[in-house]
Amino acid sequence: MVQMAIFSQFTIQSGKADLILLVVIALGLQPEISKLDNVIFSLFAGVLIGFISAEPFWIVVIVYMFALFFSLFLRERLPQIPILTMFFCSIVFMTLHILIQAVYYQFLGLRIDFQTSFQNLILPSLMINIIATLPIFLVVSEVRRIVFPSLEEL
Amino acid sequence: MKISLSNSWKTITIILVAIGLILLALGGYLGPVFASVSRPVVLAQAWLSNRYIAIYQILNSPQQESELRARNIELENEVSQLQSQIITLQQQLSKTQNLEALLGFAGSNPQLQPVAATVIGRDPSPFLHYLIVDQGSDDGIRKGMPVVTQSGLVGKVDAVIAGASRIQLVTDPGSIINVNLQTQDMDAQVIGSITGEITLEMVPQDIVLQSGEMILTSGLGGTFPGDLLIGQVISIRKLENDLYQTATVQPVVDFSQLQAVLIITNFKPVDITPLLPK
Repeated sequence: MVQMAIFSQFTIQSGKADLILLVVIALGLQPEISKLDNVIFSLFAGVLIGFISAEPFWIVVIVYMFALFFSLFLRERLPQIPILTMFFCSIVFMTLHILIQAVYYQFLGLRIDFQTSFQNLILPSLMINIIATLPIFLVVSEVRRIVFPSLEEL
Repeated sequence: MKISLSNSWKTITIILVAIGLILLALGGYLGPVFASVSRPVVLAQAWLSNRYIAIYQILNSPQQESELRARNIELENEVSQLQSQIITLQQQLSKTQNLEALLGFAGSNPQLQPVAATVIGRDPSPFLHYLIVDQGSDDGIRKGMPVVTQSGLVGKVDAVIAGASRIQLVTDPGSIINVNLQTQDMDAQVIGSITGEITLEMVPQDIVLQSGEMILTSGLGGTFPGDLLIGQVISIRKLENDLYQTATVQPVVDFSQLQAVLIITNFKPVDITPLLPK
């Protein structure tokens, strides 16, 4: 709801933030949350966004699930640097999401000029996501501490 | 006798002296005397008064300062409350003005049977230009219905659920609208783009386009009713080798500021897809 009502209106040129993707990645990097919970949340978020948006829901679901599994993979391999991992995942999967959409809409017959897309959509969207990455990670980490406190935190 | 005479003389003398002093004072002859006498008294009075005021301020100033600070905080709080009230009222005024304009449009076009809807969201995809509004199939909204404001065409209903609808804007890259110019009998198309700009296309080379020319829906194709204002031509691109000329169009609706729209409910869009040659 916050994504649709507020953050979809914050644009740099035509770029928009994808808060749900950032939340999915941030949740995937939290050590105390089980993988099943993460999968359920990502699937639910993907289907919900895909249902509301005019974008095909399978694109959203696939990108969110890939982002989740990659962040889970990195959580186990690189547990010491979650913030850096968060930045890396958000850049990679935001780019992937936009590129998949661009290719899909090209196939649908929409005129999507690559240079225009890069200047007006891809770069601005990446910039907004990078700006939002750290606050989202901190908020999700704080919520995780409240809901699933670890033994050291207790 | 001696005493009474003496008393009489004393009285007479005092009266004469008093009269004399009064006369001298009225004549202004006693001014220097009064000045020289009163100067030390005034100085002493001023010295005493200054010391009193200084001591009074020392004794009372901390209390006054704390009172002033408290009062200042109260006033600052009041100012911030009033400022927030002003912002709320300005927002309400803006919303009321928008609704009043929509109401005026609806009142002047009762044949359209418009339903007002509030914009509650936008599509999160950066490629797409869609709105989410708070009226759905329960309110008589159906897919394909045109959406307008008092200024002109906004788009059409793309998907409907019970309590909400998704509207495809004119600026969406998938939007193609058949149009004609206000001053010329010519059919063309207005097409959206990913950046939110709209262009006029399929304009024959022999047509003389001019900046500022108004563009209206033509009604061809049965998707939109005719004569809905879309925008005006701002720049023309005409190359001799091209089959058609194109133009950039300035929409009459400010899509970034849309808060409420009207959905035309009595227009039934026609799907001519089965009639198209295969």
